[in-house]
Amino acid sequence: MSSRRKNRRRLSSITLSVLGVLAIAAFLFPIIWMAITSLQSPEQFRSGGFVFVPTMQNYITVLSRTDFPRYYANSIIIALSVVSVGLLLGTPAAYALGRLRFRGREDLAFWILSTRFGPPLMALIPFFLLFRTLGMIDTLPAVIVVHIASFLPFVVWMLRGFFEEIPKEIEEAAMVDGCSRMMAFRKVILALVAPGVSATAILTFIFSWNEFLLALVLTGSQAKTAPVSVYSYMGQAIGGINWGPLTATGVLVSVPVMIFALLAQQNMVRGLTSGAVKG
Amino acid sequence: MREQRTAYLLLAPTICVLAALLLYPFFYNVYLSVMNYTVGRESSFIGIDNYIEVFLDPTFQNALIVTFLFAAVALSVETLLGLLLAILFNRESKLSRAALMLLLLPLVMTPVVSAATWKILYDPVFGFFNSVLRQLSLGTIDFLGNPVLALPSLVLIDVWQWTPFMTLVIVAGLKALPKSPMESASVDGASNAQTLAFVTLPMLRPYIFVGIVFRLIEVIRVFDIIVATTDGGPGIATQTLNFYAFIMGFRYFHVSYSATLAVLLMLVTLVIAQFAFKMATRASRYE
Amino acid sequence: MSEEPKKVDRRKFIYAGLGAVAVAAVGAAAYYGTRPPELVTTQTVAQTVTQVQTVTSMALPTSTAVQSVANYPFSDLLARAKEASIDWTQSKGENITMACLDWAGIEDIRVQAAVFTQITGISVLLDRLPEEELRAKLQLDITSGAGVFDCYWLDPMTIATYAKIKGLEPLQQYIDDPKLTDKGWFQYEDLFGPARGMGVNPGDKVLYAIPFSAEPCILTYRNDLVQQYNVKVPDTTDDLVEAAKALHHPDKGYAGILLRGQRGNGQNMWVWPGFLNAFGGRIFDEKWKPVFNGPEGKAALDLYVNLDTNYGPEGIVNWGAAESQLATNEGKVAMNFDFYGRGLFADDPTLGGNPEVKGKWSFAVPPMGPVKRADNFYAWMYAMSSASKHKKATWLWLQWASSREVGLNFQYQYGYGCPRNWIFQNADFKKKWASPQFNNFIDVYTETANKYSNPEFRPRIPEYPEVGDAISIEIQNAIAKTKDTQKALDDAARAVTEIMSKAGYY
Repeated sequence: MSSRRKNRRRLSSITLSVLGVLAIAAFLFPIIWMAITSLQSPEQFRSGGFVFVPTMQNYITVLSRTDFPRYYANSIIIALSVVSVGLLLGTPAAYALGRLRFRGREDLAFWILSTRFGPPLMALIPFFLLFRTLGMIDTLPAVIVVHIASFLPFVVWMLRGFFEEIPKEIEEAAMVDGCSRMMAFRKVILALVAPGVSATAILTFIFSWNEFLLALVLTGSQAKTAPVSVYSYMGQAIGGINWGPLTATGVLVSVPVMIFALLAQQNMVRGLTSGAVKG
Repeated sequence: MREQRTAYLLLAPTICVLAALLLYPFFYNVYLSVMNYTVGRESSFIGIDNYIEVFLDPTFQNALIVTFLFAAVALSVETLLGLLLAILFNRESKLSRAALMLLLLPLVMTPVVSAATWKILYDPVFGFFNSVLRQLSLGTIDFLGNPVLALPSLVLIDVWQWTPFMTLVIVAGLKALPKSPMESASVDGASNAQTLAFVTLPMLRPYIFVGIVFRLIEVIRVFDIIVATTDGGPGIATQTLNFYAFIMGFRYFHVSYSATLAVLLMLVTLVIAQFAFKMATRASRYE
Repeated sequence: MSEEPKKVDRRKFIYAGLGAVAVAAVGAAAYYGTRPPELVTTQTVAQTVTQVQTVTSMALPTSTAVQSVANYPFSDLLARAKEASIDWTQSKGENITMACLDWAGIEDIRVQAAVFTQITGISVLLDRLPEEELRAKLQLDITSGAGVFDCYWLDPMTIATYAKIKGLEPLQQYIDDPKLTDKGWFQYEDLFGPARGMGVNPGDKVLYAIPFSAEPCILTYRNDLVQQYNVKVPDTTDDLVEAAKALHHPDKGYAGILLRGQRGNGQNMWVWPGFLNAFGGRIFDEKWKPVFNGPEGKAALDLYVNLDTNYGPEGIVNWGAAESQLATNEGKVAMNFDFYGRGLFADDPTLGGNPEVKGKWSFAVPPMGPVKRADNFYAWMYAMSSASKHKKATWLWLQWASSREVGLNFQYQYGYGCPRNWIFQNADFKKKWASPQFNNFIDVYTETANKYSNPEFRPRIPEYPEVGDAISIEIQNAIAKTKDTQKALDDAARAVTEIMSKAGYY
């Protein structure tokens, strides 16, 4: 390679790196800004936001003077329950759709996915009236049930992709070695699909955690979830908007999902995309 | 035969749960849409009158246009930008791996929280963007209050949050593609750009397609961003279909009209999905 | 191949970590989740009081909030309750639930509830909700007859809606029942006239609610800036334009005047109709046809748009209640015609006020138009659900919560709340609120709330939310310069006509 060509290569790779860094900075900027604002006291924010001496005052306010910890706990309980039930119901279904042959398999798969097509709004009024009759408004089980209805199709869809990836030969080899189908399932397939299951679990947790519209309508001050409480702090008519505590709650709400995403990103992306494409 | 029975057994719980939880609202909604129920008034059966009224309603037509514009612009930008970023970060360096990880962060952020953050950033008096503009003596821009800028500003929020999704889908695609066609192209003397355009891109088509379809289904029901920033304004410049249905049902109590809009929204999604699946199965046959 | 063991180890580590986090999370969730939120029992009265005092005194040592709770010690409140001729303990042991707006002052209502429980043995559970949620929850609860809430803060604009479907309990019978109300003690007529009028359903003239507050719009202005620029304190709408022009200095960081621009039947439609009425216009005529797009309406909207676009802050198109308070707090506007508490809350650091503008807010009565003064008026009302299973207990709570001393405690802290003439003549109250810091607040407020306020300044019909929204959208269009004022008004009139005809008015 001529030296001119080598230099051009180097220049273009430097430009690309710079572009890459700029792109990442642009995408991370609002998040970083939110974090910085949450660590500023009102006086610093007033002075234009360019002075920065971090203070935990906003977090202390949010955690000790409001009901936010209880809403946070609600979100945790709801999300964990949705993940557990979702996996319990969805794993066998995904296995059936992914590894067994039977009539109507593709149609059933499409039907399960199609339940996502209705806008959440469609379910809102009927569910509210139903829960009211059952006395379940503003309870955690109500939100859990509705979330399961919303996310179970996704769990099935994504796990199906992972199940499909496993070659038939492995299962057959295990059975030749003397395992029954059940044992083959437990020892071989489950182990192979474990990363997919964890990825699905994490994604479902994130979806349930972030869900807003259904939680907004179905909850009051007892079962309110974290995102809904953030929305509450935005519309204060009498106290004005307190941006310190508001961004502090924003950070607290965002942190768990971001940590999960970073921990599980490899498998998560695989699951999202391979499950999507194979379909 | 035994497989069939096992399969049905394994699927039964899921199907029961979904049928119970989703068929009931669907049918109730359809029932509401053929009545003229407004809370506090007498209701009666009116057949398809609601649907006719919806099609003639100028606010509905505006909502249709707003939703279509939002979806079209958001999706185009997300796809293009996603493609560029995917190509940029599809290398084996530590930087690229870190970049892809960091791109996950906007993606998983709670939409209400990101809407709240952006609303503050956009604010003409208190927001960061405008204080920078003022420092540069460029005046002030009311992003969310200017009737022309409001919708693009909201599209930007969506692009910020979801471009990483397209990027990740395309990167997964790039990694899954076989290397040989690209190598033989460059052996044949094609430049990087030409390889990209004529070899890689066509092979990426099913992946890009899947990403677009997934996004499309979600973007036509955009709600969180709108309610947390402009509430449909200025005027009705950012009033999308889903938002219109929401205020019809939950602020004006026109429950039947809202149900009609919801049914229509669902039908649109169904049509798009059907179309998309047909195209996807056709595209994947090329492999 | 050598990568395999490392990957497995990392994965195990991650799973273990996640498991630990999950267990910790569930533990925390269980702990928090099993604590009931607001239920205040007799045993915790003292605790709640100390908690509130400690919390507010943690904020800022000079907070005005701290001084207040000590103003009427509970022994006094208990003694005063005994003066009433009714038996407070007649509904002992019952639990009632109240839905209310969620803001800083609700801490105080919790304390009130605690004392009430000690007096009566009735537990009061407060469900604190942000405004949009409050409206939505109430709508669903009342229309479905669920009876989740026994009583609530009701938007008087919705009284017509809910009265029509028999969701509200008529209150006159409770006021007139000597076993439940000691009229001499309760002094119902002491509450401001317009505020009491808000509780009456304009349709059937039945009383459904008693006032929690009285909220006219008054003009809040920076007295230091008015002095600096030698401006006449506005009395007429023409004065208002002159003053706004003189006080508009965006280069110095503040705009001339703030009039809400955000769409919504409770946002810009909270302020504009006052101007409409000041110009002699109305929303509807006797036959319920919209007439606000006549010459009076155009003049009113021209004034509004002129003030906002030429002398208003940059973001005014989208600014509603929250931004109005924030801008006042931060000193970004010289004048604000809005809910009367803007200047008061701006002065209180515990409510977000900027210490730099403390004491600089003065007040003026609403500006005089060609026909009358702007007559904006609102009041949050206490109302009872007709589906409540504890109606007597609820009435006892409502009566006690809007009584003299309880009202004074709240008003003393925030300058907001119980609209009783007795309070504004009370020496302790005047010592604080008639002090130089708050300038002429008491005089302006009592004059406006008694003389110029009009409960019917907006039509109180069930269709108001939709009608109000339709007009507000066009007002926002006019401010954003998407349409000129006459076209905006005409489009709004057309939309309103359609809404009313579908509702069966003609």
